Amino acid sequence: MNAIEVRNLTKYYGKSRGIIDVSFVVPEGSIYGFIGPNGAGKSTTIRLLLSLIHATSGSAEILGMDCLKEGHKIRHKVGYVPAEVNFYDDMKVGDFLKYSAKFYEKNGKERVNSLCADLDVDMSRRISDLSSGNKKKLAIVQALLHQPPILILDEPTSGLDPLIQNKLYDVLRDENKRGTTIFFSSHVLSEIQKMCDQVAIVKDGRILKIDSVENLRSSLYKTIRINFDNIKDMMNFEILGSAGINYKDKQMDFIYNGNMNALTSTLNDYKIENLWVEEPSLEDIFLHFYQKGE
Amino acid sequence: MAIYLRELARNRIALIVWTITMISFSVFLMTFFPTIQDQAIELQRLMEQYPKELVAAFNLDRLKMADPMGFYGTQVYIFITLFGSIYSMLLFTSVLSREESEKTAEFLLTRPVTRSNVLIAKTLAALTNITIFNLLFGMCNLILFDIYAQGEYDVNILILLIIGPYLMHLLFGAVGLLISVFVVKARALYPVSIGVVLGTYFVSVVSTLSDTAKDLRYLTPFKYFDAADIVTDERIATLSLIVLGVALVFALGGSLIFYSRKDIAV
Repeated sequence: MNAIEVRNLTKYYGKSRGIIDVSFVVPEGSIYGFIGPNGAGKSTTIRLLLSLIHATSGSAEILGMDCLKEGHKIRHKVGYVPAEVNFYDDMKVGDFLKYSAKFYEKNGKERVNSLCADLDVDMSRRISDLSSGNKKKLAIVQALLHQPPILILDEPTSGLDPLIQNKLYDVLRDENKRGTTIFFSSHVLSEIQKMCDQVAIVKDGRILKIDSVENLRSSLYKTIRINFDNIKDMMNFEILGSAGINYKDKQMDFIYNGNMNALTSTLNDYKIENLWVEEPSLEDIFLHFYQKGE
Repeated sequence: MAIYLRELARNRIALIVWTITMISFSVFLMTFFPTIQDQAIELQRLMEQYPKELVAAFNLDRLKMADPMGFYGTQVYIFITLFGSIYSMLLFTSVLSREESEKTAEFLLTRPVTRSNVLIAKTLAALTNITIFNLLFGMCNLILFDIYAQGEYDVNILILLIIGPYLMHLLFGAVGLLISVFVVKARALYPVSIGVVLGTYFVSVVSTLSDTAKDLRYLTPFKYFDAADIVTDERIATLSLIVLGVALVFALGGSLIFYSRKDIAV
């Protein structure tokens, strides 16, 4: 069974676009990256999964249950960290966690205590006094306390300092080892690169590409950097499959997803001083996709 | 149950403040009653000098201030219906909109509960609040009248005059609950709540002032639970109870349907 299955999901807010025809499958036990810039439709997709909003068309299932019809059953098995944390300002952290735990069967006190210790959450403080980073940590504890088999995280690291970010990665890896499926939305590529097995790239409400993180990074794309002998040559150089071209003095670099032989044979006609073929970062690939789309 | 208890705890301070304020006010009013009784004749003469319509608008044509039930019906009744209805509107309008305006709806609705359960738990909590409020206020007035006017009135009518406002509060609550699904901004709740109560009160006054506007009475909760009607008929009209029942069913059913289909924007 798949943890999450989304089919042709479309959401319009009145006339304005939320997401269009989004489909993807999250296998059980995986860490699935969901990446795109702000406004791409990441949060809309997540809100549809949690049935906070209703789809215009298409369907979504979690653990084989329909998100809309069996939403309350699904939410037993889901922990959710929102992008923007809004909890009850009048409550103290400890009371809030107790309240949250009341909704679940599994709600061990030791679990809460150890999570709070791991992420450095102070139970005695009032929620209204917490910084956004501390609120985020509280949201993470709240999402994990009932040991859900599925975690849906909407930009969980935003607002966290690097130390806590790393602790969070550790906590998430531990959870994943225990079999927890993690759906991880972010606009920071390095953390997707670090954490995820698979990634779906969203842009303007549509899925641009779904791939394994490894594939996306290694097989298809290379960063090519060439030092030309003269500027004239450099300006004449052209090849199919290049994008994101940068010029600097007599050096040019670009991302290449064409045939390597085509590249070397084309280069034969030019005088070059040096050539680098490098593994592009996901950031570069990402950037490349976006430039192509525009 | 967790939501219900949390809601009660959250509304506790408002309940205490409203109850104490209203009870103090009725104690304060009651202390005037003996003086008013002493000056009954002068008061009657004074009333005759006012325009008939104005006297009727405040029910002083059918109720006598010097009579205990008339005093309750024209004095205490007006403020407990007006202020109590505002309190009830605030309670019921905030049932759903408060969580949405404070954006905590996202937390609550991602718990493993259905939206219907959320709505019902919160509505029951509001109902509990308004019931406790009316119970305490009513008990206090039973005691007050026992002290100030013992033997001069029919307790059954006083009980009806205590139940009347409670039912009116529920009618306003039903309106408030429906508003709660649609009006999300917390800032809007006070003007809307106070506006609806004062507006319908104004309509009820207008409907007594002029014969042409008489039928407007069917549009205002104040006329369905009119003190003079209760004292004269010695009962609450069946029509009023039917209207209340229909309003409650309609409000609860409507809000359940609308809320379960609503997109929660945060």
